[in-house]
Amino acid sequence: MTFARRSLLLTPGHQAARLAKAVTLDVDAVVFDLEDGVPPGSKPEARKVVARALGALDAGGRERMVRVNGVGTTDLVEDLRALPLDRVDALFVPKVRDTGHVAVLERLVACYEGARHAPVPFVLTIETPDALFRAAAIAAASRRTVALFFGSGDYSAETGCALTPDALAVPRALIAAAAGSAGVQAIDAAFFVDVRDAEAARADALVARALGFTGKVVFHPGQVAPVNDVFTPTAAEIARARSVIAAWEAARATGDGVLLAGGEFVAIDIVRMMERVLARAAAAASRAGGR
Amino acid sequence: MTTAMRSWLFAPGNEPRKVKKVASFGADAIILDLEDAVPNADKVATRPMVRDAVREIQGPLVCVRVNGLATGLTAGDVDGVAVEGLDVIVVPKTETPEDVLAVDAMVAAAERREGLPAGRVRLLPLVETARGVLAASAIAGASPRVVTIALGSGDFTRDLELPVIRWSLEGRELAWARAKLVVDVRAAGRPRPLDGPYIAVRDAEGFVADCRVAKSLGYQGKILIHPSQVEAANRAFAPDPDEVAFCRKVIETFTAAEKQGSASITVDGIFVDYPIVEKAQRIIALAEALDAKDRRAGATPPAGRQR
Repeated sequence: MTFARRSLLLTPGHQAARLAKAVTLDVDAVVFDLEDGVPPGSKPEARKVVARALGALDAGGRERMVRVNGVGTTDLVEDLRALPLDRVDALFVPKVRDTGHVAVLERLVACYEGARHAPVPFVLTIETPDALFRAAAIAAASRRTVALFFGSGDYSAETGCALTPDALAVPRALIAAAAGSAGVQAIDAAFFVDVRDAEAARADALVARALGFTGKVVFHPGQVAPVNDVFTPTAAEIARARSVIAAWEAARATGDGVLLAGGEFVAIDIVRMMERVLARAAAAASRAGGR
Repeated sequence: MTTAMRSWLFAPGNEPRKVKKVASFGADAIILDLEDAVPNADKVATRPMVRDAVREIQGPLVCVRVNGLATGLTAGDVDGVAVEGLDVIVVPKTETPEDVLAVDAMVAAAERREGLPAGRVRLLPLVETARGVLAASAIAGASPRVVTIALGSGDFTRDLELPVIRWSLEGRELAWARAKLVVDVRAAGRPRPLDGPYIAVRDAEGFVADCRVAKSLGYQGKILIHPSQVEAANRAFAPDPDEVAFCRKVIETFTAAEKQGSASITVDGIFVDYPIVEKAQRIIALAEALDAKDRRAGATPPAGRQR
């Protein structure tokens, strides 16, 4: 099953009412948080609340993710012991520093998910400068990995980088390149400078989309609609993609590898871009149909 | 572990009679097995039996061999036996440092849950494949919990597809891997490694020869699969009495020479300077520590080491 991952709502795991609310919002994925959104003293309670919610809540086709604690913490082991992993669609993993972290994670998860379960996919968070430079290797380290997530908050805390589109352009582009090199998605952090400003969230999502990101985390219900909108191909984009692909296939049938379509030079690279637009449109449509 | 751990005696965790007796043979360490010696159908039910034994056994270092990561049983094994009294988890079929770190994480969580001091339970990775042997130094250095590593010689010869079950007495089939592991664990700053079992349990002579080869290469001790091997292993892996006597002579002669202003001499034709003296002191200290340990345990010090 391919999930659209345009909007991922991160919700603190110790608050049962908020988890129940999360699965009513128009997001592609809910991420129940056991990590930084939960005070250390509340983690045992949060594990119980999240396990119960996973067992009882109908997510309505939304992808069910859990943000566990980082590799190397004993909290991660307790998270894996507590979770019904057969009801988790993906693990959202913070602070991945190197390929060794991914390898340890694979071994631990394999031990707790049991032999009968299909392997649980990973969304890996790159949020430190050292990990940024290893992002391509991290993205390719496990066949379970489906996406890289750029945690710009921690990244800026470690580097002093401003949370502006200009300042984030290089790390974002590197994450998108790393994700692209491994054939996985790139997901951007939430726009958290002003979570109630829907227009600012839209502008921020447009920048991320231009760099190659296919989705964003959201914190506030008001961010959901603009983010879904930005990462959903428009009817015009879909129509253009279809016509470019049709024109290219027609040209190829006559032995041409390149052509001009409406003044635009088209070769195989453009075709692959258009195919990607259609794939995103199909994933988004399947979400809409599942509601 | 300040002294050499010479004898590591296995007992199948699902056989109460053997578990009850395993600590009575004078082994420096005992290993209660949840892995290969236990039938698959009994593995989960064996955990509480081993857990009780871990709490009760006094004297030797108490170890439990859990099932390997590929089985999916490791976490349940660790959770089932990590209680007061457990010294070491033996990790079979270790091939990468990440294998060690995964078990390390399970052990750390179990310690916290059980209220054991952090770092109390140590790890002994078993290296028993070609991949594992190549990665041995990284495995030994993967976590501060690693006590040393042990060569699983039987599985290793199987992984190499050697055309024999009984390798030669001088161990030439294993020579390279045995020598490599010594360098690997020392490079990682860990105590000397442990040799794998000698499977011809009734061949006492062959056993002693096998111990001698391992000791000469730098092994501190050996995994044992039969109680009858304990005494011979304790003797074989202790410093040789003749060597200890020579070490004493070296130190006496050198100390006298040093007073005369000389720090490089020969003793019985052997060149001696400070590094050699230091080595001699270490060998004597090890011999004395092992003597004291055996006396405390009430065992007769192995013949030839009595003075």
